[in-house]
Amino acid sequence: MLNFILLIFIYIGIFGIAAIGLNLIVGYTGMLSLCQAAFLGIGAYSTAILMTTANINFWMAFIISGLIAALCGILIGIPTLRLRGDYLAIATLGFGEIVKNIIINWDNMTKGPMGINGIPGLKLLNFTFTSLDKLPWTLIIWIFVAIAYYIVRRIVRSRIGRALEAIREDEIAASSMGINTAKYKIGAFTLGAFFAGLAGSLFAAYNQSVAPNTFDFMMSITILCMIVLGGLGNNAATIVGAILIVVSSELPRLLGISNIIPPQLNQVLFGFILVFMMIYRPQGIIGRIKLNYAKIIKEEILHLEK
Amino acid sequence: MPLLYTQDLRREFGGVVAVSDVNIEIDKDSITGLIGPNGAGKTTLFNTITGLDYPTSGYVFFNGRDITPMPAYQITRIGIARTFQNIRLFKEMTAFENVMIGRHFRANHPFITKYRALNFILGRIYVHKEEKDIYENSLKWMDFFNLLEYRDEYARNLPYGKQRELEIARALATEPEVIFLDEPAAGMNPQETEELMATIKRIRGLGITVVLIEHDMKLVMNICDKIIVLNYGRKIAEGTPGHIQNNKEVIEAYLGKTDE
Repeated sequence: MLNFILLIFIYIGIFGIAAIGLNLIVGYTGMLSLCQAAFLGIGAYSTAILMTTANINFWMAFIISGLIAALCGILIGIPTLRLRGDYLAIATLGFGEIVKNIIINWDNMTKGPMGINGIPGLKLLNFTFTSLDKLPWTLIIWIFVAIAYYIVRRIVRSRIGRALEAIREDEIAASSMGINTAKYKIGAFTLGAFFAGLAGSLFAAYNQSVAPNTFDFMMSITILCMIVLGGLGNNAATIVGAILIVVSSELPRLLGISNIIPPQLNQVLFGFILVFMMIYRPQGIIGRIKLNYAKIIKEEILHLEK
Repeated sequence: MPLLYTQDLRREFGGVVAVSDVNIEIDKDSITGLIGPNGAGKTTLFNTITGLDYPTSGYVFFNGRDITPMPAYQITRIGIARTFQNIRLFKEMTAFENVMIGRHFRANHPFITKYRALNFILGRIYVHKEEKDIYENSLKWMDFFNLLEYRDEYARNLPYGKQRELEIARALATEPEVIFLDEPAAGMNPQETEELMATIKRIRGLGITVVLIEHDMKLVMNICDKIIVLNYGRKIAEGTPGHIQNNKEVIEAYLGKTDE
């Protein structure tokens, strides 16, 4: 039972990192992206391929996976950044499908629908952690959750965050205030993709295997639901959203009634939560916390009114 | 040489010629009014000059430099600010933050722009300098418009007239050489218009050139040094207020031709 709870925490952590990245894109910058799962997939497959065929150790593969995902973020960001709202959503959706199909069909690289198995365990000092060593994995993953949280917090509380907020509010006005909106949008998109790549890498290394169908459109939607349910533009809420969604999808197993109720009921429960939330609390469980930048500068930089 | 001038500026939307080979000259430290009936192409002209729209053909020169191909944010950075006809404030941000965004790019510390990689590691001091600069200058502009009492109010909660002023404050925070005001008096009552006229004169007093689109003839005739009249995308007249008031073509554009 403890192992199962740790497993849930591992998944909350992995999806939490990806969701924090997506929150930067959707919550703070206001670009609706539906391809976060694709970046997770890119990160996961990069790690899987690097660790099995190139014999690179996990930590190198981890960084490289993040960078590859970030590079893909730039590549998709440049042509789509001029689109907004629904159009950007559709374009990113298309990108997600492209990535999934490349993974399925690039046989000699990704082994197609079979997926990649036998990824070596994580070596740290003299230990090797496999999927069975849940406690160390939980700790490692949550350290990265904390790092991602801290980085995004620092960004959104700085003048960069202020610029992102201005872009979300009114892009045309922002550009006529001398803000290079393209630069900021690509930057946010790329960093979001980077975090998703890292999350994917952790996902692959923890499971020691990857399969293409994991990273489908449904996963992008699940991650999006995490940030919407928690509250857009609020990282703590993002984690709450991740907890809510992972726990609710594992609830029957957690209660030990998974053999009584059919697995489809999960989806029903999930749908019910969404409908209920959108009617009664559309801003999310916690909701957005508006940062007051004047106050931040006063307290942190001018050291006034402590 | 004029501070800003256009050369056969033209903007077509499909078959519609919104701006048709317009040549205008804006002199330094002047207040220029741009008038014309609805749909005459005034806002399109503003948009093509400030980079929010691009011309089909023609050029815009600013300080002797061709700025036609520049994107909007670069045009703002070299000293051309603007406001919008339908107020475009960052509504969910506070009044103060709106002005801070205007100051955003001016605060780039030369050290930071030059050594970006280094700054990543030891940039804290400079980041603090930038933020301090933004804070103090924004405060200055808020004060210039007597908006300090609304500092922490969301922009959307400000009274209409104050929103217009805040938008001008935000544009001025970019420290422009020339500011384009798109119908600044729209929706204002006579008293607010009166105050606005005083404000525009104060802005000119700072050494900033003003170009404005306005339908309020009292305002235009009172404060403009030069008036340019557009109709159907073409410039039909140009001159001092007195000259424009007696121009036959202008009267026809506004009131229609008399049947003789």
